[in-house]
Amino acid sequence: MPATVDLAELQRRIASLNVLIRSHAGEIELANVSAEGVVTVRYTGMCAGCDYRPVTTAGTVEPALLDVTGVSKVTVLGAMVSDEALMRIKSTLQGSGAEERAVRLVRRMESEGERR
Amino acid sequence: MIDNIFIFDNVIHLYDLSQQNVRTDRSDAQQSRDHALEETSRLRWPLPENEGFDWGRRWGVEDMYDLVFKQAPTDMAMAQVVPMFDWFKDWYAPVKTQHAMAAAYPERVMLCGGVDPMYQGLSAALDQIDYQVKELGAKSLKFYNGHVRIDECWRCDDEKIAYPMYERARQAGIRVIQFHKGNPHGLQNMEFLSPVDLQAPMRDFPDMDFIVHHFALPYFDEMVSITARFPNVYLSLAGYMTFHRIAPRRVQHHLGRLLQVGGAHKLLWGSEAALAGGPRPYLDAFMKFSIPDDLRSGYGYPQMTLDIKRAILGENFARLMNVDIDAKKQQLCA
Repeated sequence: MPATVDLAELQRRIASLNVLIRSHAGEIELANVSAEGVVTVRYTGMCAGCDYRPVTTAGTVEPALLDVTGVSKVTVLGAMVSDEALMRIKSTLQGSGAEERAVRLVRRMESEGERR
Repeated sequence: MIDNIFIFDNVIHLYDLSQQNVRTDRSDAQQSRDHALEETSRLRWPLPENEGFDWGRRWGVEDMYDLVFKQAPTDMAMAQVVPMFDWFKDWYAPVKTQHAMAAAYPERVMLCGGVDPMYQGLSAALDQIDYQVKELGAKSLKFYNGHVRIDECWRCDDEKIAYPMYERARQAGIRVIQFHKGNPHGLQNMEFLSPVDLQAPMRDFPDMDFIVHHFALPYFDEMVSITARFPNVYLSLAGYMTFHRIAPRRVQHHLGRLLQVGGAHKLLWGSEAALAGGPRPYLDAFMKFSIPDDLRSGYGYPQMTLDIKRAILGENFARLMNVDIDAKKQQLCA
């Protein structure tokens, strides 16, 4: 039985992620959370329709959302690539530390926000 | 249904291409009607039952029911008015024949009305919207802003001509409006058929959903960008699978690209029966359709999975039109 997603924690994490994604003049917004913990988001602003969404998803959005309790999978409305393309993206990220950095940054933002 | 997959056809047209409906006051009407028949005969699947059939008729309810629901595993369909008055007295696909279809089979067929402000003026078009929605039960409206004569064309972002129609539709309770884009009729100016003039209304009417037909071909790249950026746009295949027999590679590219950036939740099955022929061979082709390895690897297109096919064939349009698929399946089986 998967842990229930804490919606408040999830929304806080999305807000933190959006501080990062705003550097691309875009954001993400929550589209759906399933009972199985599958979180679906959509990109907005300049990121809406961008071909590089799968890269931002794999390197930043997905690891930061999977770090939220109960989230089992992350999907993006409107953006899909083949398994082959995803493997290439993942192999590019491997060893770059991008995913860990994304998680570290959003956690830090949230803990600083709590201290204030 | 195919393998328990609910099939909701976004677009069928009960055309009136009969000789009696051809306008005699327009010099290009006869030739254009004949050309339309000739052109679509090349698109239809070469089935024995299609040979010698009179496609240039005023389509009746039973003809269409046979083609769409008996010869093909369609569960529901939307009969759409084609308010193209350029060559036809009672329009290309009249209000009366679409309404007759929806009235005869209300459990299976929804009416999509259609108006044009250049037919008898904006005021008449607004009255027609009220009539078609409130009296005839139209659940959606279709617009054709491109015409053969330049002075009869209008832009979809024209705040004085187009916006009052969207507002009237919204007041009448319509939430889904539809547009023919791309695929010119004859020597029309193509700029009116580009989807770029839909961006402003999509932004200004965020509570309405916009369905664009034919992928706006040849404006495919523009259509992809708009589909990817606007949350309230959907694309009807609208006869597009006819190309699969002719150019399968092209179809793999188009659908692959749309899945990649537009999203599977935005694509709607549409057969364009009757002129494209019956939906059955196109449904068969769609069920067998896949994105080949080299395109998935080389272009990054995702695979067309069974779940995605299920969404495109019925779930997406059912969601837009508030149809409960499980309840509808039970109703149709009863």
